[in-house]
Amino acid sequence: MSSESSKKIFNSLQTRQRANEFLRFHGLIMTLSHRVGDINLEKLIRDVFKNGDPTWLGVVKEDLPDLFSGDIKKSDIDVLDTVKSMIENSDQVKVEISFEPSDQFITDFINILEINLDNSLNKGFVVEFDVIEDMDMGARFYMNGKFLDLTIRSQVENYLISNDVVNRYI
Amino acid sequence: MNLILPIFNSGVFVLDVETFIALTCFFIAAVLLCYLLVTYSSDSDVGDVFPNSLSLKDKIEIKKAKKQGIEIKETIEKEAYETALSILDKARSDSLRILGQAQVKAQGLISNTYVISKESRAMLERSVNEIYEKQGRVLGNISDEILESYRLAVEEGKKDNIRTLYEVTEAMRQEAIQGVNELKDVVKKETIGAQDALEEKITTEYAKIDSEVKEYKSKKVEGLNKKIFELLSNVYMELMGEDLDQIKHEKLILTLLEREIKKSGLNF
Repeated sequence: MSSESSKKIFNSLQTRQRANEFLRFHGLIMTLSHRVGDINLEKLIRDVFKNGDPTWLGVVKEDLPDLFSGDIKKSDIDVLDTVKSMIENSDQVKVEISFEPSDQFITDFINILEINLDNSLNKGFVVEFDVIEDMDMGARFYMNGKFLDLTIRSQVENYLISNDVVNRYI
Repeated sequence: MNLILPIFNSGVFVLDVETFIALTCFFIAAVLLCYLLVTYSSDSDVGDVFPNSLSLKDKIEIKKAKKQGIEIKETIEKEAYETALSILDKARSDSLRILGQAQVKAQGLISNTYVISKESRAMLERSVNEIYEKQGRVLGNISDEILESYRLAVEEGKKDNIRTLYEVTEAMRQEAIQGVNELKDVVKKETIGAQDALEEKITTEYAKIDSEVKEYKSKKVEGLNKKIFELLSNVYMELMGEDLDQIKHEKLILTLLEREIKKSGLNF
């Protein structure tokens, strides 16, 4: 059960930004575990995430309901530690795009990676989206020192080169 | 006529038969006359019959008278005759000896004389002709020798000329070959120099043309890029058909991602 919870929470993170938020949350919980007396976790979370609750926090509340009631159990902490460890051991992916990606896009993006890339160790992916507004349409993909140019310009140029358009038509 | 005999005949005088006989008779008569004079002189001295003061004519008269008178005295005459014969024989032998000496002297005299008789002139002409003939033969021989020598000299000269000509020809040939070689070297150097200059010029021209080509290529590529950008715009328009919204954009990225991962065989 805890493993599934950890997996579920990890899968809800998906991006580097959310993973960092989770690590801050994990740190907060670790400090609270030694605290004595009543704990208003909701208030503490709002203090940490002033821009609103992260999307992944709903999954945590769903799988670890006791944690938000002020009763920090060892099993819950283990789940959070596992998630932290999964984040640290995950494959880090960086993507440059010209827009803020939608959640669906992020999910589909990771699904494509999980389906098409060898991930036998089931380490999971954490994607860092770097938004560059004046960038050409498409994306640039970096992972473990490897690079894929997914911009439309590059695709068209490759198409022109592969079809020898310059020599054939110019 | 004064004739100067050739030097090689100065010591030899050739006597013909007629001259010899004439000279002999002359000397014999002279000898006999001398003998008679000597003989009669001695008889008169003995008998004192004919004193020395008598002339020769008187003596002859006396002798004739005595001869007529003495005919009787045959013995005396016979003895006298025999004596005369012996004397004649002696005189003949003496005359021959004297003639020989006289001949030698005559030859000497004749050799020195400048007046030549008609016969002598003919003889001299004959001698001269003989001399001429001899000289002609000698000259002929000499001419032959000279001709032979000349021929040999000509042959030698010819050989020398041929050798000289060969040497000159060889020298000219060597000189010509040397000249040709020098000319060849000069032409070769000039050719190599020209070739180097040509290569340098070609290299320079090639670099210049290459620079122009690169410049042209750069301009062409620049124009090409413009055309590519125009083409890209056209491709955008044709591919998208309309402006790309985020949903389509995301879908396009996902499609490209999946295609590129599969195509490149990436294994992260």
